[in-house]
Parts: sequence; C-alpha cells; structure tokens
Amino acid sequence: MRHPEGMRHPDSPRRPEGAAHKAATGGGQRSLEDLHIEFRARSEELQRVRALLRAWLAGTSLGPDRAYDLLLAVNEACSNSVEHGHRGDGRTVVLHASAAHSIRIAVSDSGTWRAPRADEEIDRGRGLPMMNALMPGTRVVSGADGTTVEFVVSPAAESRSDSDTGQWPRRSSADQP
Amino acid sequence: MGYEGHSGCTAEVISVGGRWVVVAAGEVDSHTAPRLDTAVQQAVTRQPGQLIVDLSAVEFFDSSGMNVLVRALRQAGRVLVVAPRPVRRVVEVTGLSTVFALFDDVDAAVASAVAHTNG
Repeated sequence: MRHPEGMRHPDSPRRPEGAAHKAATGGGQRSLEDLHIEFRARSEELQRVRALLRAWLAGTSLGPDRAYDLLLAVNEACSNSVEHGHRGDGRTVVLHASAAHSIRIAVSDSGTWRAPRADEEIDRGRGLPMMNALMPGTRVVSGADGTTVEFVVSPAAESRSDSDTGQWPRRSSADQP
Repeated sequence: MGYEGHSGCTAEVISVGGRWVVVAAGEVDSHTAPRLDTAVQQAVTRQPGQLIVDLSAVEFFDSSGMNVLVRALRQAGRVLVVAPRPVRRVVEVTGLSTVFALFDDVDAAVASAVAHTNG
C-alpha cells in the first residue's frame, strides 16, 4: 500500500500552512485533534481516507450509525472530487475535520465539478442527492479556485434516534455548484 | 474469507441451490465497484431474468455500488439483494428500497427467486 507524502494523521509533526490546530473542548465533544488529510485524486486512495476518517470519527461523540452516515457522505464528496473535480488526474484533494462545539468536515479540490452529461445523469448523479439525504446541511461551494463540500454536525442533533432522519436539523440548503 | 483493512473488495459468481449468485465482500466504492459490476454481468449473462446479489459480507457500500445494482436492474427483470446494514442504509437514502427485493440471508433470496419462477 502506498503512503502518499501528503496523507498523514495530525499526530505527524508536519502540518500544511493554515491547517490543523488543536480543537477546543466544548459542546459535549471530547478534546480531539483535527484530522487533516491530503490525498491524490485517485479512487484507490478512498479506502485509506475512509480508514483514517473512521478512526477519527470513533473519537467523537457521534453514535455508530450517525458516524457511518457521515462517513458515507464524506466518501461521496471525496469520490466526486476524484471523479468529477479532477477526473482521476491524481491532483490533491484536501479533507479537514474538526470537532469543536460541532463537527465540521470539509473536502476541497481545485477542480470545478462539471455538469454530468445526460447519459451520466442516471449513473453518476447519485452522489450529491445522497450527501444531502444523509447530511441535510451539506454545503457545496464551487468557485474559480475549486469546489468545497462542507458537512456540519451540531451536538444538539446527536440525541436523535436513528430512525427519525426527517428531524435532522436543516442548517442551510445545499448550494448547487 | 479473510477480509482485512486494505484488501478492498472481492466479487465472484457461485451456484447456490442451482441458481447463480453474485457474492461480494469487503468495501465497495468507486475504485472497487467495477469488480462487482464484472461479476454481475457474468451472472446476468448466465441466468437472465432474476439476479441474486449477496452482499452480506460487504462492510462499506456507496453510490458506485448502487449504480451497479441499478444497471443490473435494467438487464435483469428482478434484482434480489442480500443486504446487511451498510447496504440497506444506502438503499434507503437513495430512495431505492422499493425497486430491489431485499433479504437478510441468501437462502431466503434463493427461495424467493425459485417461488417467483414457479409462481
């Protein structure tokens, strides 16, 4: 298994500029260091990214079902960055996760998501609706510098049971790219 | 079956009770979904009509995996899926629970396929 230079756990001493800082304790979250992963935009990296994120999520106060939903949603964002943003060209995708009073996870690429062709709509258009269904507050910001997908889970929402997805608070509607 | 952290996903076609069944294990994502797709295509070719996909050993399943199942649905008249929780969750959130026949184990899926054929 390759370990791309840019992919590292926040325990590692080297940090990119303006990136990880220690998260403050509060809002029911244990003190948890930010997770910062930079990975090449290739689909074979996704499994490693998920493994790192899964381990990080286990340190948050999210229950296992909610953590899995978030993992699924973030995976879709990462897959979109690989397939649509960079079209598998191996450029860098950045995932940053923090758990201060709420859990925030951002996935950024430097590409612009192209609109799917008509014949791709059916097969490939499932990612964004799935992110929104799993995490109704999903924000997608697409600009000249690239696309960032941001997920925010507030601690107040964590007491919900796993079946009442409809009560998941809608923080903001997704901004279409 | 010895699945571990980075082994990805396996998918094969086996015969269960005289019916061809696609059996997948591990993590199905945009990198590994083509393996599932290959096995599905083999099974559909051997036995058109009803397709059984046993995903009970699948630990992660995303929209790429759903795309494989949806494509299969256009080829086989009926797609029966043995779906553990990670798969069920994705089927639910994509709003496709009603288009697939979902089962808890492969025996139930095979029995349903047989009943459907005979009935």
